[in-house]
Amino acid sequence: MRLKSAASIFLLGFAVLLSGADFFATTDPVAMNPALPYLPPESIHFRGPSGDLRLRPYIVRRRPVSGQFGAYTQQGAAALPLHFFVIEKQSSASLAEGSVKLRFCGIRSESPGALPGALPGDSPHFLGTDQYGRDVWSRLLYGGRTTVAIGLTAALCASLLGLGFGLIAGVYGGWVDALVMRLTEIMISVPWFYLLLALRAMLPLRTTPVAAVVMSTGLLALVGWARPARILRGAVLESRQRGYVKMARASGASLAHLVRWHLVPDVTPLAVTQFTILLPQFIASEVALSYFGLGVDEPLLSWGVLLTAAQHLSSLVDYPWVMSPIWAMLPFFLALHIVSDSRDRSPQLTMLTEPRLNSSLPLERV
Amino acid sequence: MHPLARRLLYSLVSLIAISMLCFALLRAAPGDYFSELRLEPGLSQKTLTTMEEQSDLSKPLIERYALWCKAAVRGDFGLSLTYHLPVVQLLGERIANTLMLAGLGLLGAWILGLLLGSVTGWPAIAARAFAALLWSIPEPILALLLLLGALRFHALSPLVEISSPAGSSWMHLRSLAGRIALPALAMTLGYLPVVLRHVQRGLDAARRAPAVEAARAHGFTRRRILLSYLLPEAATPLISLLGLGIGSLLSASLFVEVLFGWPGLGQLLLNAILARDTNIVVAGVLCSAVMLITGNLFADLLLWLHDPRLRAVAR
Amino acid sequence: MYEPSGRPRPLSTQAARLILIFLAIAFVSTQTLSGQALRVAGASGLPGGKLNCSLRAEPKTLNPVFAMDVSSRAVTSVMNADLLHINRKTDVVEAGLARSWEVSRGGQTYTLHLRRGVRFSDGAPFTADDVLFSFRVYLNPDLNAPQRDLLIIDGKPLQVTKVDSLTVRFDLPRPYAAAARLFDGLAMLPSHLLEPLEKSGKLKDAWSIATPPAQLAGLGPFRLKSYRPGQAVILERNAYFWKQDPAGHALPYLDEVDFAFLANQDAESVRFAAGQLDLLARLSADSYAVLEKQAPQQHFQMMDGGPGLEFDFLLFNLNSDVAGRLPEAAAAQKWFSQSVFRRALSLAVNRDVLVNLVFQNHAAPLATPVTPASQTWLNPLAHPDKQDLPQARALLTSAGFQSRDGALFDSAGNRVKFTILAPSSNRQRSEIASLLRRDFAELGIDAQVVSLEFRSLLQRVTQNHDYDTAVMGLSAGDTEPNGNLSLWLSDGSLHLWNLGQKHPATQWESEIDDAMHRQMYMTNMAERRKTYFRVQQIYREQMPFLSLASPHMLGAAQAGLLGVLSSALDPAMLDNVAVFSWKR
Repeated sequence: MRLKSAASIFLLGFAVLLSGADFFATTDPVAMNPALPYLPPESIHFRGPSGDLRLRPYIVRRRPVSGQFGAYTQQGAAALPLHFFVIEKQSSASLAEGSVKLRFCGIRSESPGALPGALPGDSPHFLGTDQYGRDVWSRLLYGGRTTVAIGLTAALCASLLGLGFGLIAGVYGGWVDALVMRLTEIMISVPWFYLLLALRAMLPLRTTPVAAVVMSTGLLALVGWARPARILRGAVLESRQRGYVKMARASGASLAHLVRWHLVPDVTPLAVTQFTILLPQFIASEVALSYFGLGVDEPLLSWGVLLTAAQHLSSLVDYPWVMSPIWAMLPFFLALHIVSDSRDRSPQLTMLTEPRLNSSLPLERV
Repeated sequence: MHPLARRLLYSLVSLIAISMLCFALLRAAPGDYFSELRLEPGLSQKTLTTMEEQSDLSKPLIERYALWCKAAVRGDFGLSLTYHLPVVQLLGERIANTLMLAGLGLLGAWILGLLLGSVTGWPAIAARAFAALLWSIPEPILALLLLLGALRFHALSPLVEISSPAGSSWMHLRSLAGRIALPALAMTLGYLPVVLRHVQRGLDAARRAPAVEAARAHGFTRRRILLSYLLPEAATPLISLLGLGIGSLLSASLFVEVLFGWPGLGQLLLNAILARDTNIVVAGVLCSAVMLITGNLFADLLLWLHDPRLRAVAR
Repeated sequence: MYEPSGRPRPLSTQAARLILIFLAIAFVSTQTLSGQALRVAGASGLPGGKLNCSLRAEPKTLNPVFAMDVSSRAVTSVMNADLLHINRKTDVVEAGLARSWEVSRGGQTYTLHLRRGVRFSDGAPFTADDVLFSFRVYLNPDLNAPQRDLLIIDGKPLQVTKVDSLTVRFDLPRPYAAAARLFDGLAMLPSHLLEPLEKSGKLKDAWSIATPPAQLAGLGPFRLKSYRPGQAVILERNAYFWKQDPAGHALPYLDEVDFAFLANQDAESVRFAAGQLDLLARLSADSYAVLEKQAPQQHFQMMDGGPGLEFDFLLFNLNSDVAGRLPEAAAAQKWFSQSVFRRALSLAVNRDVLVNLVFQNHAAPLATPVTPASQTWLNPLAHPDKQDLPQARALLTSAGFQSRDGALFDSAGNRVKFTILAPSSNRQRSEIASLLRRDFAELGIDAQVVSLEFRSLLQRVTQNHDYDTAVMGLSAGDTEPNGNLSLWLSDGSLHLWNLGQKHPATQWESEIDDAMHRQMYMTNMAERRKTYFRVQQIYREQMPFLSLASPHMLGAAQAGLLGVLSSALDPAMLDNVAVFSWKR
C-alpha cells in the first residue's frame, strides 16, 4: 500500500507542477533565444568552485563557440546566481501579451557575467534549450498542462461513452447489440483522419488555440470510444451470467437497479483499465494529430508538439534533453497505473461470495 | 436464419456503410490528387484541367460511387491514380507482408504479455515500469532506437539488411526471417503494454474470485491455479481484445513499416491517404474492415466456446 | 552552333564547324569526342561494384514521360539519356545522344546529328525515328506529358523533321533563347517497344512499376534488373551504354545501382552511418549535422553543394477574387496590397537568424526568388534585406500605420493581425513561420501561426484563396530565367499571390510580363541578363512575396565512392552516375 500512496503523492505533485506552470516555469515557453540554440541542461550548484557552501545557488552558463551551431564551451563560463520569486515582464510575442508573471526562480539581467547577447527575459535552463533557444523546462510544463488536460478529458469521455455503449449493447442484446457492434466496426475502420481534415477546413482560420484544443479533445473521444465499448460489452455479457445478477433479476429488481447496483460496479474496474490505456494512447495520437496539422498550434504547446519537434535522429544522438517529455511521461504513467490498480479493490467485488453458476439454466434477457 | 449467416449479412451491411463513408469523407477532405501538381513549374493550367477532366474525380460523388460499386462487385477496385496500376494488384503484393509482420508482432505481444502479466510481487512492479516506459516512448522513436541498437552491434546487422540476397529459397527464407525479426520486435513492444495492462487487471480481479480462493485453499499448485482458474476467469475481455487486435493489424504496423522499410501495406496506404489516391484508400480501408470483422467474429466464436452459458443463449 | 555565352554566330561551312567543335571541346574541357562513343574526360576508375542508394518514396512510374515526383525522376534519369545535356558543373549545354548540333535561320532551326552505333539497353539501334517518336509522344495533347508545355513556344509546338536516319531538324516558331536547354532531361524513347502501345492508346499505363524488365529499354547507363514492390528497384549496368572513359573503357564502371525505399530520413541516415547505404541526397540540415559529426572517424564525404533552386518564401494573399467573398482575408488584403507594408515586413525579418537556426547555416538568405544557384542571372544589386526595425517602423508610419502600446494599428484604427499558414508535415517551414511571427511581433503585428496538412494548405492557396499569408517553398525548373516563367507571368500557374489573371492586375505585373516575354526570344545574352535584372529590380520594389532563404543541396557519400558531384539541377547527385567508381 505504501507504493500506492507514494504514487498518489507523486501524481498530486505532478498536478500541482503542471497546473502551476505559470509559476514553476522559468520563462516564456515560446520565447526564442537565437544566441543559445541547443544549450545543454544547466544544473544548480550549491557549492562554489573551491567547495565552499553558497547561500545563493547558482548555475554555470556555458559560452557558445562562435561559428559552430549548438556547440558550447566551459571556457569563460559565467556563474549566474539564482533569484527566487522573480517578477518577469512578458514580451509582446509571448503567451499572454504584456502581462507580468511571477516565476519561482530566475536570473537578474543585471547579474554580473550575464552574457553579452543575453536577452532581458533570460533565465536558467534547467533542462537546456531546443533548436531555437527556447527553454525546455518551461515548454515541458506548459506543454504538459495542455496534453494532460486533453488526454484526461478525452480518455474520460471515451471511457464513459464506451461504458455507456457497452452497457446498452450488453444489456439489451439482440438487434441493439448488433447495431452497436456494427457501429463500432465502422468507427474503427473508417479513416476519420479525413473527417478531421474536413472539419479543420470548415473551421475559420482564426480559431483561438483553445477552440482548436477543444476540437482535438472532442475528436479523440468521439473516435476512441469504440474499442472500450467492445471490450466492456464482453464484460457486461459475462457479468449478466453471474448468479447474483440472475438472483436479483429473479427477485424482481428493475433494470435500472440491476445496471446501477450490479452491472456498472462489475465492469467499472475494466472501464478504469480502459481509461488508463486510452490516456497514453491519446497522448500518442496527439503527436500524430499535430503532424497532420490538427493538433495544438503556437502559442499553445503540448507534449505532442515537443515530441514532434524532437522526433529526429539528432535529438536522439546529440541533444537528448529535448526528448524530455518522454522522461516526464514515464513516471507519470507508472504512477497512474499503480494508483489505478488499487481501484480494482472495489467493495462490491470483494463482497462477492457467489458460487459459479450451473450452466444448464437457460438465460433470460436481463 | 442461422446466426452465422445473419452475422455475415450484418457484416456486409457494415462494409457497404464503410465504403460509402470513405467516399464521402474523401470528398469532404480539402485538396485532391492534383493539388500537388499545381506547384509543378512546367505544367500549365490548361494541362492540369485536362488531366482532371480525364480522371474520374470531376464526376459527381454519387456517380463515382455507383461506378465503383459496379466494378467492385466484379472484384475490380479500380486503378490507382498515382501508379496507374490496378489497386488489387498493388495491394495483393503487399498485404501478405503486412499480415506476416503484424501477425508475428501480435503473437509476440500476447506471449510476452501473458508471461509478464502473470508474475506477482516485485517483478509485477518491474513489469509495470517496463510497460510505462513503452507507453512513454512514441512508436517512431522506439523503432529508431531499435534500429540504432541493431546497427551498432555488427552481429545483429543481418537483422536490418535492406534487401535480400538473391539465391536459393532457403537463403531467401533465412534472410526473410532475419529481416522480419526487428520490425516484428518493434511491433511487439508497441502493442505489449496494451496486452500487459489487460492481463494484469484481469488476473488481479480474478485472484479475488471465490473459485480461485477455493482452489488456493485446496492447495493446488500455482501453475495449476493460473492455468485452470485465473486465466479462464479473466478471459472474457482478453478475448475481445484479441479480436480487436486482429482488426487493427494493418494500422498498427504503419510506423514500423515506414521506419524499417518493410514492403507492406502501411506505407502504401499512408502515401495514398496523403495523396488522396481514392481507390487505394477505399480498398485499403475495406481490407482493414474485413480483418476487423473477421477478428471480431473469431473473438465471439472464442467467447462462445469459452463460456458455455453463451451457447445456452444461442440455443 | 549555339554558344551560350553569346559569342559571334559561327560560320556554316563544314570546316569552320569542325574547328568550332574542337574549340568548344577545349573550352568545356570535360568531354571529348572521338569516333562515335562519347568520351568523358577526367573519368578514370575501376569497373565493378554496386551502389546502394535510397529513395524517400516508392517511384510512381518508370515511364520517363510521366515521371513527375522526385523518386520516379531519380530512377528514370539513370535509365535514360537526352539528346543534349546541361553540364551540371559549368551549366553549359553539351553534346549528348546528339554528337553535334547547329543553329540556323537566326536561331529558329536546330539541326542535331545523332551518334552512330548507339543502342538501347535491349540492343536495338537508336535512330532518328526514335527521336521523332519521342517528340510525338511529348507533344501529344491527349497524353498530357508534363514536358509538353515547355516545348510549346509562343503558342505553337516545335516542328520535328527527319533529315536522314541520323539527322533531325527542329523548327521553332520563333527564335528561342534557351532552346538548346530544352533538350536536357527529355528522355529518348525506344519506338520499337512503345510505338505499339501508343497506337493502342495504352502508353499512359505503360512502363509502370509492375512492368517486367524485358519490356523496358533506355539509353541511360543502367537498366532495370528487378523491381521489388514496396522495397527496392534494382538497376544493372547497361552494356550498350554509349559513353567511354578516355582510356576507352566502357562506362558505367558500376555493375549495379540499388534504390531502396526508405520513407524515413532518420532510418536513412542511420543506415548510411552503418555502411548499408553509399550515397544520400537531399539531406536535411539536421541529418547533415549528425553525419558531419561522425565524418572525421568514418571518412564520409560530406557534400554541401551550396544553394539549390529551391526558394522558401512568405506568400501574401493578393488574389482579386477575395473581396466580398472572404471578409477576413479581404481585411488583411487592405494591408498586403500596399507595397510599403510588404517592404516593411521584409525589413522586419531577420534572415540571418532564420538561416542559422532553421538551416544551421546551410542556406543562403534571399533578396529575390532567384537563388545563387543561377549565378549568371542574379542581379548583383539585389541584396537580401538585413533586419532593420527602425526603417521598417518608419515605412509603416509613412503609410499611415500607428503604433500604440506596442501594437500596430492601420489608419482606420484596426489592429494589424493576420494568420501565417505553414505545412505541418514540413518542420522547417513551420519553424520559419514561428520565427516570422516573432519578427513581426517586433513591429506590433499579431501574427498567428496555423499549421495545416499540406494538401489542405495547397487547396487554400491554389483553389479557394482563403488565407492571409503562407510559408511555402518552390523550386525553379532551371537555373536560367525561363525556369521561373510560371512564377513571373501574371497568367502563370505559379503566380501564386494572384492566380488566374486574365489581364495583369497591376502596372508592374504587366511590366514583368512584358520583360519576361521579351527575354524568352532574345538571343543576345547581355541584353537578356539586363532584362532579367530589371524583373528582379521590379520585384524588389514591389515585393509581392517575401523571399526568405534557399536551402543548400546537402548530401553525403561513403569515403570510397569516387566521382560524386552534387548539383542544383535534377537528379541531385546522380547525374554522373556513369563515372562513379569504387576506390580499391
